[in-house]
Amino acid sequence: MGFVTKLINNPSFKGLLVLWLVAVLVFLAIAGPYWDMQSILETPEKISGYSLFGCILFLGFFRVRKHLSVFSLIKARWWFAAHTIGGLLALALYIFHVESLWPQGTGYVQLLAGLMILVTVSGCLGYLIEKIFPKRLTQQEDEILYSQVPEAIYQIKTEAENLMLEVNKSIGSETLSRHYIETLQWFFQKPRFKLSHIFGSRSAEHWLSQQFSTVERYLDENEKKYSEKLEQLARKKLAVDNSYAVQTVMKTWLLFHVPLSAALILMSLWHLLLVNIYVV
Amino acid sequence: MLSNITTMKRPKRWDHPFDPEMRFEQAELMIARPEFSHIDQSRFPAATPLFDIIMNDCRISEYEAGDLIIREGDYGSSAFLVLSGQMRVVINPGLPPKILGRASVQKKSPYSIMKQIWSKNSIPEMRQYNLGSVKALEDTQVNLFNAEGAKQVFDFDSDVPKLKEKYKSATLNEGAIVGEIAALGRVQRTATGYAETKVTLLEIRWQGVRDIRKYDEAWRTMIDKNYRQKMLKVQLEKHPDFSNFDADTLEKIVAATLFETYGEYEWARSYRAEQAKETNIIGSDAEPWVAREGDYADGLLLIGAGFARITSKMGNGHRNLGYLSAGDYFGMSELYTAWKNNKEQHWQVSLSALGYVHVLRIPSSVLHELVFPNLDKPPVAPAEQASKPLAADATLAWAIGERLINGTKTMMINMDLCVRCDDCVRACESGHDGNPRFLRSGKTQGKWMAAHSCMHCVDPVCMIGCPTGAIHRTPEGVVIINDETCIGCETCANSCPYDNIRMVNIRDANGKNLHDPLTGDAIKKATKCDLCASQYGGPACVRACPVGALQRIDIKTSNWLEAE
Repeated sequence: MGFVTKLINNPSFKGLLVLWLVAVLVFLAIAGPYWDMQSILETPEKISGYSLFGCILFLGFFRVRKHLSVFSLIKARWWFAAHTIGGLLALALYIFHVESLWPQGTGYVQLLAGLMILVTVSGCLGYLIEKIFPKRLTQQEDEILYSQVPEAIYQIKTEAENLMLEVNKSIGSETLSRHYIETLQWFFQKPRFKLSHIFGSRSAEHWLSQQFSTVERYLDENEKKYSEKLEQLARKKLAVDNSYAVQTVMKTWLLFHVPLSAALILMSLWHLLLVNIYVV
Repeated sequence: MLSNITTMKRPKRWDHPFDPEMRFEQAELMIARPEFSHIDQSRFPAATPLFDIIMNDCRISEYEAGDLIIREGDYGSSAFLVLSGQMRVVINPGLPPKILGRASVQKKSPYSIMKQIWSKNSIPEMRQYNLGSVKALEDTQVNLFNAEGAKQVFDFDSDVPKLKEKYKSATLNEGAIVGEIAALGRVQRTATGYAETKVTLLEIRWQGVRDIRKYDEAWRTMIDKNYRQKMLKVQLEKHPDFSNFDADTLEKIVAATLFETYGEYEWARSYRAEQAKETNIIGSDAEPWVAREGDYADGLLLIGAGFARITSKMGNGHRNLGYLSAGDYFGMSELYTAWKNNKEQHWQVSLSALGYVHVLRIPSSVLHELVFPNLDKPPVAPAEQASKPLAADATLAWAIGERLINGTKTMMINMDLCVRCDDCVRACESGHDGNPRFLRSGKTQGKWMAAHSCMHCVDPVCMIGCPTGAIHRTPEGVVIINDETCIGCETCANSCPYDNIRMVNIRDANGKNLHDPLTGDAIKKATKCDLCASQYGGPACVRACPVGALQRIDIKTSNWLEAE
């Protein structure tokens, strides 16, 4: 009971509830007359088509709003909520409009349908990424800003190289530095194990452990101290790699979703013009 | 080499005197007055002699009868010495805000807002000064140094008699000083003052008051005495448990109350040093005890200003149970219960000074005689914290340890929600000269990150030491920097314990850095979050966050920890 009361009193929940209600009402308002008029009108799909186009334009405005932050528009979080719910509404209207998931018709129409599905899939994927990936970054000890990744890698690499020079100079043994040049340098050079980090596998950690246990049997106590320091740097680098890989996914999915959406809007507009010119 | 670069004169402390019209003869007359004539001028450093302080940090203002001089609730930056005439101060209750004609921060015009869309990608931190000198804006100075303004808001013939009749007030005559506590204590003005007759005042901006107090014993004694008396009385009168007492009882309590200060007034430096060491500072010189667990409880502790941490012994350390800030008290329910049961009371938990804290100690004997028998209802015991799991107060302990409790608008980001899109950064940038006023990085605890953005502190230590008073608080409590009068000395940036003020190189319209012609060094300005005071709709960062991860919170009043 307490949970339900808390939920009902939560302003975010209330806002979302209103948005869902609006989406359902919009759909019913479009669907109702459509069914009524299907028997009397020759082209009732015009209603669903125009509604779908309007909905797509509204979804596109979310991107425009990002560039209008100086205006006191409604908070972006509500725009985002409306964007996700509106996306589902657009999908419903699309199915309603083509009367299936894939339309009959010309290559242009097929292309348009393909774009619509790609935009929807990329949007859903993006939504999942935004729900799952932030937590993975938070769980990491030291998160690093995306723009600072190259600098951080350079610093770690320089520290590692200085350490290897030091071990050569102070101990006179080249075992660790040889192993560094042969194997570990590759790891320190740039972000590695991207896929492993993206899918949350532990193969990067496993690889590192392997490399350090491989060389450990050839090291004396003094060299092992340097090896431990190098391993600490490698763990630091691992965290940077994880930050980089996860943030890359969080940023790049939009590089698909946004251009595809822009193409969808333009092609829909052309489709609308063609229909008005040739079909009516 | 220098001929190829754009230059401007390096700004200095007194480039912009408080009153550019102040004449040498006027300053001489002032220094001959009894308030200044006794001062040993040799104690002042050569760089800031008393005469120059009067010339540059003071101005003579005349007010007509009915003119508003200081306004309750404002964060004033200057004190007033009555030179002639009479001034009247409304004591308590204060005047309603509507009567006081409160001003709001000037918002940008619709054109200025529109302009930000196409100008945001142009040269960042561009300034359009007249090269060779920093443009002084008279209007800005009035707003900056005399937030109260000098507007005639009361009609003398009709309003003033009514005010006198309805509100308790006192007359201040020649030689009286008013407003020095708010100016130095970085607290809001506690009373409203208006001219009762035509009055001439010497207005001393806080840097001047600070320096005179620093080098003259008599001024220091007078200011400190006033501080104790005025702050204490006003605080007790406003406190819910004391506000119902009659004037006589209150007077007796005030007379018996002890005034104590713990910790350092300028705590930022030691805080930074202790942070670097990452040691437990509770009970150390940096965070001295105010009351220790197990000691005899000899009185009620009322927090006058600053912060104090409540802890209890836990293993080999101290567990954070909470914190107190101005207006809170410590030990009321325990002392009341002990009095009721006729027992001796010992502190159950400890209290330590976070930075610095002013404490008003009302002795137990006074409580037994005057307070407890007259309480309407028994005081409410604070919520039991010690029985909760240790993990339950980890976030609060972090917020206390990092002194985030000082903020009234701390930028707290829920990193479990944040999608790292940097829309908040871009929104900030678009409204602030093409350069964001915060960094999306900072200290973290669990899913929370306190980003490097001005927190608009209750106790803004950044304001201490600003030579020109460029950094100041608006009546709404927003700490802002007047770009025109900032001389780029970095005092505020170095004072901010949270590293939330950034120095930036400024540029001319062609995008070239401006340089000092003498040294060739780049001219810098201090920049920080201003809560988008000139924009509509509140901070742009909050509005731009697509997932609602970014909040501006006051830990004391928000339900942030409950949402945890």
